[in-house]
Amino acid sequence: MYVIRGRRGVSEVLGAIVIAVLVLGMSASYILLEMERSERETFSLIDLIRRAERRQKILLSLIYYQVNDGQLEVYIYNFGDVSVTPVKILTDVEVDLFEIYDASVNNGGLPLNEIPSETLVKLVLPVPSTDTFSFVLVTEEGGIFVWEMML
Amino acid sequence: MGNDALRCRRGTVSIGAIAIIAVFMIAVSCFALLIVEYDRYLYVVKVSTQKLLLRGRENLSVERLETSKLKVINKGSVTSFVVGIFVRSGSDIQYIPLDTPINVKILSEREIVLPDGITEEMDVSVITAYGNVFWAAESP
Repeated sequence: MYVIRGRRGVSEVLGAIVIAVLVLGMSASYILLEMERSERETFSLIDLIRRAERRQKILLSLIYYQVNDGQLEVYIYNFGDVSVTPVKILTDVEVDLFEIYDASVNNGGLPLNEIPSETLVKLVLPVPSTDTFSFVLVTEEGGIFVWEMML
Repeated sequence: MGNDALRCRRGTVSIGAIAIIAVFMIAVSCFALLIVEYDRYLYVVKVSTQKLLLRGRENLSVERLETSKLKVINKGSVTSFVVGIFVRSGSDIQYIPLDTPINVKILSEREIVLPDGITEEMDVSVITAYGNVFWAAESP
């Protein structure tokens, strides 16, 4: 009787310990999984918000355009707070090659890769085949600017 | 022995409670992070929208007084800041940024001295901080 009662006691404690370990393990795994998932989802949302924020900061203004030496010259002023990187230009077709220059007399002709804040730049590209077209500028930050032009 | 088991069960319940609290705290901290980011985004939207609104309200009248002077009159409902002079002579373009922007208050006028080399035949305009361009008319 004594032996049997003693064994029963041990198994109850063991059972409780096993359950505790199981709960602890499952809880820890769940917390870790939840942490990872929450972190991933939160940061993907934060990334989306930050991209939208960058897009909002882009402010470009068309100042002037003309055809000179068989090239279309477009003068654009960046009145936003951030530099803007043009990645694609569309006129009547997608423009494969375009150049950006600082338009100020101080730095005239300085080639640029982006349109710095509070700077006027000259974009040089081939003349479109049509007289009237939409000039579409797509930026790396996701901004899209459309200006109607007539030559 | 019964007490030990009971203690272990209590411990299990405590662990469960801690797990739930931890998950709740993770959720709260993630939510707080999102709120902070979204708040910043809303501020940026507000600033950009204000800039665009002010840009639409700008209205400057620019006159050539003499060869070397411009008179800028603010007829708009917002203070304008002239940041540069844009000059066109045929297909030659010059942009002269000003070292310090010239502010033109509502219903006031300012004179801007043009740099050397700008002749009467050239078309002159001013560019403002809000990205507007106003071309000069010959003075009557």
